[in-house]
Amino acid sequence: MNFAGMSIQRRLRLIIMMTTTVALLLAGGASVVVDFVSLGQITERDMNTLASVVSIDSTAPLTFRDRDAAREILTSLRAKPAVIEAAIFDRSGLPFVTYARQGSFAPGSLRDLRESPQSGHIEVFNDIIFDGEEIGTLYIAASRDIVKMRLRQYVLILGGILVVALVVTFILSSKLPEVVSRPIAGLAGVAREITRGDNHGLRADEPRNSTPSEIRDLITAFNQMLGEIDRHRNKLEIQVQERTAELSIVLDRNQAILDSAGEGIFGLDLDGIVTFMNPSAASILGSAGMGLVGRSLHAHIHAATCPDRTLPHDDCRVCGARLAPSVRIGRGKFNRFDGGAVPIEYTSSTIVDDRGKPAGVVVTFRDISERLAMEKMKDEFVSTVSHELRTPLTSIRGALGLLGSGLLGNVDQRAQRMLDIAVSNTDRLVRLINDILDLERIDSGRVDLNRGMVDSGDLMIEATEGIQDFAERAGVTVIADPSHLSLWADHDRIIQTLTNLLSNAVKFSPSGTTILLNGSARDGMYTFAIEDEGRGIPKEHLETIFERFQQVDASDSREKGGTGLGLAICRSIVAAHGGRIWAESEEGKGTTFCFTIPLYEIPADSPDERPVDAAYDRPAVLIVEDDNDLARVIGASLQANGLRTRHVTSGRCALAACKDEVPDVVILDLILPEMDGFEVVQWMRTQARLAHVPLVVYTAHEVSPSDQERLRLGPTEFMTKSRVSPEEFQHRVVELLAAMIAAEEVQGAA
Amino acid sequence: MQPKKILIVDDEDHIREIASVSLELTRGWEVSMAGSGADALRIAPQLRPDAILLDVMMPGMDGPTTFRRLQDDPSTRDIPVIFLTAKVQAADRRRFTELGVRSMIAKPFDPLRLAIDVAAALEWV
Repeated sequence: MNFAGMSIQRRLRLIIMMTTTVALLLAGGASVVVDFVSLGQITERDMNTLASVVSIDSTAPLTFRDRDAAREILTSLRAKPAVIEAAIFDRSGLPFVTYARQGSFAPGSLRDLRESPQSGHIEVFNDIIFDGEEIGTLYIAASRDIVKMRLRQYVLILGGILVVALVVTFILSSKLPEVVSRPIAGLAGVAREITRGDNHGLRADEPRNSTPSEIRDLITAFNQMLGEIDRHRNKLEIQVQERTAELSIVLDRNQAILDSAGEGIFGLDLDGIVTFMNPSAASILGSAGMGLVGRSLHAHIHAATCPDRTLPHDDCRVCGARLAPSVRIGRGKFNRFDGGAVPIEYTSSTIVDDRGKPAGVVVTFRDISERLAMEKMKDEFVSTVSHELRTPLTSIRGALGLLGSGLLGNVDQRAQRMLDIAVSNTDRLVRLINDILDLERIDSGRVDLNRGMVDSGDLMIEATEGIQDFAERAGVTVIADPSHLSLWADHDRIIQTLTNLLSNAVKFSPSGTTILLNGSARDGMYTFAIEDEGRGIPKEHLETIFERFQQVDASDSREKGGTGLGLAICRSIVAAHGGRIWAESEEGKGTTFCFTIPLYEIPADSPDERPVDAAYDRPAVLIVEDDNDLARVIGASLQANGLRTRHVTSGRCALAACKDEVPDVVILDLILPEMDGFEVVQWMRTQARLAHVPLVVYTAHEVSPSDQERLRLGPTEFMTKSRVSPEEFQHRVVELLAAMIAAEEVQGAA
Repeated sequence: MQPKKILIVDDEDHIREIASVSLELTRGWEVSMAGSGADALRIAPQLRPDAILLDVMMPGMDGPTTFRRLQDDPSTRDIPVIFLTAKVQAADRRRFTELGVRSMIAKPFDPLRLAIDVAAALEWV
C-alpha cells in the first residue's frame, strides 16, 4: 500500500480500520479455534457416554443373541443425528448387528475397523461387558459435520460483526478532521494567506479543548513564530525606512548639486539617449531643451557648423561611450533650442559599470561665449600692443642701427659704444616682446599646434645644423646622435624647443666642451636629451628654471642675451604636446635637459589622420591638405564613393605616409607647411614605387604651364579650388582611379 | 647695373624714412615712398618698381588688400611684393604665402640687413 502523499485523515482512517479488522479477526479466530476444539471434545465425550449406555443396553440382546432387540437398540441411535454408523461385534469380532443412518454399513470385522480408522469421523469402540466378561464390542462412528457447521456459522457471524465494525469505524473516523486534520489544515491556510502577503497580522485559531495536545502545541508554536516574524519584519521595515530616509537625503543633496551646478549636465545611456539633464543645461540651451530627455543627444545637439555633427554617434567625442580616453575635453557648438547656437566647452566622461564595461556618458558643458569674447578682446589687445610697441621700436632700432653702422658718418668711440649698447638692448626688448607674445599664445592654447607625423632624427639634425654657427663661435661642439622614429608633433615648435635648449646649452658651456643631443622611445613617448658639460645647475633651481624670468643667476639673462622666457616657452610647447620637460644636473659636471613628445600612433582624437577603413583592398587616396575642414569635406565625399582616405597636413607627413603605403591617388595642395607641393612631387619622382601614382593638384591658384610640367607625376589633373565643384572633383578622382586600374590591367595582360 | 627701384609702403613716416635711408645707404637703391595703400596703388603703375615693401597693418587699406589690388592690375601684377610685418606667426606666414606674397620681413628689422634680406628673397644676385 502506498502511503506517500496520502492525507493524514485517510491515513488515520486506514490505520484504524486495519487495526479494527486485525483485532476482530484475531479475537474471532481465537474463539473459533477454542470452540472448535471444545466442540470436538464434547462430541467425543458425548459419543463415549452414548457408547457406555448403548453397551449396557446391548448386554442382554448380545448375551441372548437377540438380533432384533440389538438392532432396535442401534436404531434408537437415530435420535442422535451425529451418529452415522454403528455396529455391535460379538466376542469373535464379527458384526452382530449394524446400523447406518444412510445407505448400508457392512464392516468386515472389528479388527478391520480398528486398523483403518476413518478420518473426519469420531470413532468410539466400547467393550460390552457382562458379568465381568467381555462379550462383544460396540462401535459408533459420529460425523464431525456438526463441528464444521458450527464453524461456518461462527465465520458468518464473525464476518457480519467485522462489516458492522468497519462501517461504524468508518463513520466514527470521519469525525477525525474535527480533531486533527482541521486544525492542521487551518494552520496551512493561515500560512498560505500570510505568504500571499494579504494579512500579516493573521493568526491560527486558538485550539479547542477537544484539540489534541500536540496539535495545540503546534498551533501555539506556529502563532509564536508568526509573532516573531512580525517583530523582525517591523524591525526591518524601520531599518529600511531609516536607510531610505538617509538615501533620499543623499539623493536630494546630489539632485541639489546637479540642479545648482552652473554647468549644464547631460546623462546619456549607451545608445546616447538623454536620460537626464539639469536645469543649467536647459538654461544654456533654452528651456525647450528639456524635450531632449529620451532622445538622442548626438542627433540634436551639434550645431550645423560643428564637424562632430557629421561623425557617426560612436565616434563623437561628446556622445560616444566607447571612445578612449574615457574623459574627453574639448570645445564645440551646441544648438540652442530657441534658435541659434552657443559655443561650449565640454567634459565628456564615460561611465563604467562594476565589471568595467561602459554604461553611459556624462557630459558637462558650459557656455563659453563670454570667454570667447574675452579671448577675442585679449587677442586683439595683444595684437594691437604688439603692433603699437613694434612700430616705435622699429624706428628706434633702425635709427640706432644706421647711426652705429657709420654709414651716416663716424662717431667717436664712446658714442659708438653707447650706440652698440642701445642697439643690443633694443634687440633684447624686441625678443622679450616676441617671447611674451609667444608664451601667451601657447599657454592660452589659442595657437593650434600644427601637428603631423615628424621624424625625430630629422628634427635633431635640423636643430643641430641651425645652431652650428652659433656653437662654433662659442667654441662648443654640438653632436646629434639621431634615432629615427615618427612623432606626433608640430615640427616648427619642436625645432624651436630644441634650438632653445641647444642655444642655452651652448651659452652655458665653456669653450672646448661638447653638447650631445640624443633620444630614445619608451611607453609611447619619445624623450629628447640635451647633455652639456657646463657648470651645472644647483638642485634647488632644477624646477624653477622653467618659470618665467627665473634664471640661476639674475645676471645671466643680461650676460647671455636671453629674455628669461626661453625655458618657459619650451615648457609650454612641450606641455601643449602632452609631454614633460625636466632637467637633471650635477653641479660642475654638466646638465641634461630632457623632454618627451608623443610617438606617432593612430591618434584616437583625429579620425582623419588614420586609415578610415580597415578594408585595405579598397583604393587608398592620400589627401595632402593643410586646411583641415577642406580635407574633411574631400575625404567624406570620397569615402562616400567607397574609397579609403588618409589625410596629412604637411609635405613632410605626405612623405611619411607614402613610405607607409603607396597611395592609389594623391590629392595635393601646393602651399603646405614644412615642404611644399613641388618638393613632394620632386621627391615622389625619385621613388620608383611612387613615380607613376595618379595625382590631383588641388590648389588655390591657377598653375602656370611651366609649373604644371614640374608637377607631373602619373596621370595628373590640375584643379583650382574656387572653380571646381565638389561633385566634379569627386568625379575626376574616380576617373583617375579607373584610368589607373585600366593601365594596370593592360600591363597585366602584356 | 641699373640701381633697383623700390617702393616702400608704410603709414609710419619714421619707418619709411629709416627703411629708405637703409636701402639707399647700403645698396644705393632708388627708394620711393607711399604713406598708404591708396597712394601705393596710384604710384606703382607709373613707377614700375622692381619690388614693393608693403606694411601689413595700415589704417584704411591694409597690406593684404593693397596686395590683391596690385595683383588685379595687369600693370602691377608682376611686381614682387614683400610684406613688412609685426606678425610673424606661422599661421600668418601660411596665409600670406597662399596669397602669393613672395616673402615677409619681420619688424623691427635690422637696417643693415634689410637690403640683404630683400635681395635674398627675390633672388637678386
